[in-house]
Amino acid sequence: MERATVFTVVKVSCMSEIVTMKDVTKIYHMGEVEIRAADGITFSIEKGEFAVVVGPSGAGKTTVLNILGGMDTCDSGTVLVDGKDISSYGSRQLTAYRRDEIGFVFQFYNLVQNLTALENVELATQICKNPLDAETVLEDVGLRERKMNFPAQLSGGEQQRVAIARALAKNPKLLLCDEPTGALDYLTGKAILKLLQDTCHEKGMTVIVITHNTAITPMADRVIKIKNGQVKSSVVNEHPVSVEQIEW
Amino acid sequence: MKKKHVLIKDFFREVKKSRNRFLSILVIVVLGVAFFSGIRATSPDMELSADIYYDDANLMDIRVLGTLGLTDDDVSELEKIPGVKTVEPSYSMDVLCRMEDSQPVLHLMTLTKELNQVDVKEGRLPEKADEIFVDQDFLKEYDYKVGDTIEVFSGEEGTDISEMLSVSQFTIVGAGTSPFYLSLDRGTSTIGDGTVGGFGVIPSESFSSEAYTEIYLSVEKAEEELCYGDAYENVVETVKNRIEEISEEQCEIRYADIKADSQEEIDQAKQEIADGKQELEDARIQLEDGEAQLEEGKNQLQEKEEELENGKNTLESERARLEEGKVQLADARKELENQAAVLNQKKAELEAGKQELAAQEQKLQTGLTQLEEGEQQIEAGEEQIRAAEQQIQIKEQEILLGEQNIQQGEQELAEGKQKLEETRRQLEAMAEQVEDYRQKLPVMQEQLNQMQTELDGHYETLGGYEQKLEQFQKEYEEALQNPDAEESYIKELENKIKEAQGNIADINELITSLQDRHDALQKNIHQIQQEIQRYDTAVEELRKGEEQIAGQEQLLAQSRQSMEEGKELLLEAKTELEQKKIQLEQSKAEILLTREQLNEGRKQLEEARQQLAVGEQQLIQGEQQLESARQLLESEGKQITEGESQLAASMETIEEGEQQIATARETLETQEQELQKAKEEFDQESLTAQDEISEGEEQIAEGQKELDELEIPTWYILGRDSIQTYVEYEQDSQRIEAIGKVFPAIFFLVAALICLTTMTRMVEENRTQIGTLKALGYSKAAIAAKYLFYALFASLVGSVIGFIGGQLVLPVIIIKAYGILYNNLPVIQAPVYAGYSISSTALAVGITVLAAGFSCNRELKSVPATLMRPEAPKSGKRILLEKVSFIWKRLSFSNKATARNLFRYKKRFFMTVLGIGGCMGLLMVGFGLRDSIMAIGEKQFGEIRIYSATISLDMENSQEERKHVLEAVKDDSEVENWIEALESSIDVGYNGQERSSYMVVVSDLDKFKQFVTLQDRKSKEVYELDDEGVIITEKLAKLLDVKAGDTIYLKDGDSKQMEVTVSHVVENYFYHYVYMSPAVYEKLYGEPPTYTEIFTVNKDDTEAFEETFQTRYMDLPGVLNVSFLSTVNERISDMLRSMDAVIYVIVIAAGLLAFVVLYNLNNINISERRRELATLKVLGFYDKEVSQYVFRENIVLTLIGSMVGVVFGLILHRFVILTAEVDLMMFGRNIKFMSFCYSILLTFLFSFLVNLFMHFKLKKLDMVESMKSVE
Repeated sequence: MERATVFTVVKVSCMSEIVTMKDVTKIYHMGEVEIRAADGITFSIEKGEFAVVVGPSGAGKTTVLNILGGMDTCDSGTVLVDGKDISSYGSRQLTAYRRDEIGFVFQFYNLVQNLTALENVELATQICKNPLDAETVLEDVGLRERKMNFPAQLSGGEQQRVAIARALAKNPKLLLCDEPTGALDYLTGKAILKLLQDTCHEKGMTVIVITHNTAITPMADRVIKIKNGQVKSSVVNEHPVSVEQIEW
Repeated sequence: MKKKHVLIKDFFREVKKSRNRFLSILVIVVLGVAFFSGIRATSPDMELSADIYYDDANLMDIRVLGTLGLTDDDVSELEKIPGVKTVEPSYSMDVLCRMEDSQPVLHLMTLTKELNQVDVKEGRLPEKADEIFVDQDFLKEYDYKVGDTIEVFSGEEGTDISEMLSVSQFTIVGAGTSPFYLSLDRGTSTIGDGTVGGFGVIPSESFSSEAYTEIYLSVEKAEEELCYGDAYENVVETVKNRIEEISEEQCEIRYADIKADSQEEIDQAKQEIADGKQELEDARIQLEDGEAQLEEGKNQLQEKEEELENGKNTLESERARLEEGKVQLADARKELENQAAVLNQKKAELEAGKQELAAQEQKLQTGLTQLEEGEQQIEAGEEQIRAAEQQIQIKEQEILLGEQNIQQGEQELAEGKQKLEETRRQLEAMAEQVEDYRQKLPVMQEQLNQMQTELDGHYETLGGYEQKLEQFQKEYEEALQNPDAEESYIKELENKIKEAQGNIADINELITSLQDRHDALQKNIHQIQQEIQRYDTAVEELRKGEEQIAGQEQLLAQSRQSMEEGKELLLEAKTELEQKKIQLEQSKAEILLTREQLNEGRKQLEEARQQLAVGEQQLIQGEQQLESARQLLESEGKQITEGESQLAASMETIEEGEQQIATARETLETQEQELQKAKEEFDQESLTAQDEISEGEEQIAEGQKELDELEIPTWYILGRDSIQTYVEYEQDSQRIEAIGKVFPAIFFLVAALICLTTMTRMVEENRTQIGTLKALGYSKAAIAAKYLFYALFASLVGSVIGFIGGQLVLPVIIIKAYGILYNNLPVIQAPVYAGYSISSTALAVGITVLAAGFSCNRELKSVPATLMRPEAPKSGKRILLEKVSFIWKRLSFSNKATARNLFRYKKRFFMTVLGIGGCMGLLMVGFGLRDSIMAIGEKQFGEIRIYSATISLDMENSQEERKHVLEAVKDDSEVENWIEALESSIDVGYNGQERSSYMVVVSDLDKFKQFVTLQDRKSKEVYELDDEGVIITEKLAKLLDVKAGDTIYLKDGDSKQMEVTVSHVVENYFYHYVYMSPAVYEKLYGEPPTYTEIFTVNKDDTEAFEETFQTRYMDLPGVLNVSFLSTVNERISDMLRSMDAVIYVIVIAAGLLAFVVLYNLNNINISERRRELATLKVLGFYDKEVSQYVFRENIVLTLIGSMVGVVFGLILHRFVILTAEVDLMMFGRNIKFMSFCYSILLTFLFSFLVNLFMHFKLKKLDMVESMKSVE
């Protein structure tokens, strides 16, 4: 019986849902203590959506991100990305998945200090199957003039732009952003969010932003609220607003 | 107190948390301290082990040798000397053992009660005079067992064993070791093969000589001291000096005793000689008679022999003739054979010819068949062409017909077109009219409609009138009937009716006229409509006709095209046909040609066949001729055989005669021989007798002279340093000590650097914590304490493990390695020395804590705010290489990243290069040491001293004996070359320094090159001895600091110094030599050299060969010793073997060093870049790619490190060689190519292992690290 339901889910997801998490659980054992970081998380995101996963610290956002990003495996449940069940992947398959299908934007940019902006982007393009041109992507994020600079010579916002360019240059199916504005000031954070929203709308990229900042939810196409390892709500926002109009 | 408590807790947690870091400091400290203390302790351990053994065995401290032996009186005098503990006299001598296949030398010693105790390993000590206790190595080597009997004899010519020993057959009762021999080497001897095979211990009553050979003494308080130390030397030296004081007196007493005894002996000898002389005279007379009888017999035999000679001559000429005949016959036979061979060859050729003929015929046949086939093909081709031509004609006709059809069609079409044109014109004319109609038609219709309406109106009015009429009529009727009706009213009604009737009639008229007009119009309209319809149908027909014509035109065009195509095809077919015809014509011509050729071939075949027939005929004739010739030969052969048998018969007769003569001669000869023998016997006897007599006389004279000249004896007072093993052992120990000074330093240096980097990293990682603590108000000292204690704790624990482990294990390993040489050393002592332990620990702890303090201090200087902020990441920098754009552009992306990273982490760069360089350097020293020692054997005996053996002659022997030996060497086919030489010990001095070396003078300077190569080590320039100066060896020159051109002095014993110039310095690895020409020798000594040795170059150098060679020459009188260079070479090989173990130790140490350094640095590298690497993983780098990203740097670093290591290794090797070298030898200075290879390979292997280890560590690296903020 359960099998049948799964199949129906698969069928539905094939239509336009690019990400589907179903009953995903993840339990960490810290010595004697058992932490249910994800306790039956179920949601789906459609292709080309700008989705915001929001929740307080320790709610299980990062677990979701880790599982979705192929950095961790779940204990049970199904994770379908573009029709493929990545929850059954081995470590090598997961690496290939991260390599070709996921673009990742970190809170602290995680640029290789010893490589220039352009080289940081090339670091990603040299390994994936059909990358975009590194220089073009850098120009797209507005860093044409600064491509030969080292990260230490760039501001936080610029560094995050390089990181986004690095993620985009891989031409991924999903752009996962972990607190992309967490280390940035208000204005720069807004600019980065705008860049992400524009990328989503102009290029049809599916962008998933993970944040604790509920203020930015109005700009999302879909808002997924997580609390205590469970999805509290998953709402489609019929009228998303532009970043400029929101304040926090 | 509370504060401290928390910090202490933090400290232990830190240790627990950073286990790996703690361990790596600990391990490197363990290594450093272990090597430092262990290797340094080895030398004292070796000496201690030996000292314990010597003390246990009660090895003598002093031994006294007297040139004329020693007496009991001497013993009691020595006992009186203060400081002397024990005195024991002893005998010792070398004897030979009688064995089936060899005669090993046994060194016999007295069984002493207290001193020099042998260690009984098997059996017991001897108790009776005929019992012996022997060397256990000797027992093993010569396959004796305890319980066997051993027979000994004197090795010196003319000396009976009984003069020396009371017993010559001993029963082996036990075996073991003696403190005199730690190593396998038992020293040399003047008898037998020159090497002592082992020692034997017998009770003193087994010796028959009266005077003791030596007296052993032990010194009070010497046992307490370490035998190789200065304190020991001092104690012994004091006693030695005291003995020196009494020695002169004792010698004089001995001198007086001997003089008295000897005079008596001489007188007795004189009497014996006089008796001998008389016996000799009698024998001579008997001999002379026998000689006369023999002469007569000889004359008779002469005559008989002459007769026989004549007979032999005749026979010889006969034989010669026969021989000639035989030769001719043989020639003829050979010719016949040749002819037969030629014939056979001809036959074979004929056969081959036949075969070829057959083959040709077959070929001809096939040719013919092919020809026929060709002709058939041609015919068939012609047929085909004909058929094709017919077809073409048919087609042409068809085409003609088609053309006609088309023309007809075209005509018809043209007509049709014309008709159509006409119709169109008509229609066009009508068209105007029709158009007019069409326009009018609606107007008319309108009119019609109006009329109809009008009509309808009229009809309506009419209806109204009629109704009114009817009403009037009805009213009129009613009025009529109604009687009441007024007349007027009726009248009126009648009028009204009339009026209505009139109205109706008018209207009816109107209607009729209108109706007529209406009908006419209607008709008109109808006509027009019909007209229009007609026109339309006509137009439609025209269109259809035009369409039809167009269709026909198309059809016509199509058929024309197909016709055209048909024509073209036909033309092509025709051309093809034409070509085919030409081809056919060609083939026909070819066939004709072939047929002609075939005919010719057939003709040739026919001719060949005829030739063959002729050849066969000739062959048969030849065979017949050959047969007759062979028969002729056969008969001639038979004649010769007959002649031969006749000859044989006459030969037999002659032989008989000869035999008779031979027997006669034999008898004569035996008689002669007998006489000769008798004579010889007499001669010999008389000679020996004469010799004996003269010898006796000489001896007496000599004895007398000796007695007259007898010098007062001297004592030699020797210490333990007169024992070979004792000294060698000390040298080895010193060598280890020298090495111990170098290696630990390297380890310590590396350990210090490792500690520094590790501690720096630790402090950097704890930056935030330091900042927090500082912000909380902890003092600098309290904060720093944690790191200082961390370093202290790690290094202290490491040191303790290091010095205990190092001092317990390393010396044992090294001494065990030396144990291959010093197999008799019973126990190995490896105590832990406080001095080495404390010094190494202090050094290790000091360095580590200093390193920690240093890195702490740097951080503590900053204010807390700065500390709590994460350290700004090191900015990426452009490196110099990027400016060289033609290289930079060519680098792949990952190579660029590697290059930048290398220069980014400079500290790591230098550390790794240093670590790898150290490892590589150590390995090179290890392998290089081996090469250098091997060079001694290889170069010394392969290139420099290239002769095989030295035959030493007795200095005292007569000129005749020397000639005899020389003669034997000259005649010896196994000696390829020889030379006479003088080799003697000499002191060489320069500038206050003196070294003892060997002086070599040779008889033939030209020949000398084939024995010893005198060359410069570097330039390989070969020098020659001249009459001006001497040539000295390199090491001697170095020790004395002498260069070519300097003037040195030579000192021979007590003689005065003789100045001489050094003309060259030459390569040499073993001992020191001073080479000089006889002329220089004469200049120095004032007399020509007396050669005491013969150097030989032998054909072979196998052990078996050398053994027989040795016995052959040792048997000759006057030969003192025969020694071989291969024996020396073997001794060096033994030394090398012990070196191998040291090399293993070095290789393992180098491996550990490389591993610890690389592991540590990699660990730091990975932990520093954890975020970067985790990010790479998140980006989707495979594990392999992540590892490569890191390892590419390591590989480059290993490469650079190896290069540095080569340089470092070369310097270190040179240093170790110079330090470890003993004065007597020079190690090779070069490292072999293969050693470089091994070192590099091993270095890379170690590096690879670490990388492999790190790969798994990287694999485990958690990607979640990438999420964390900068620490």
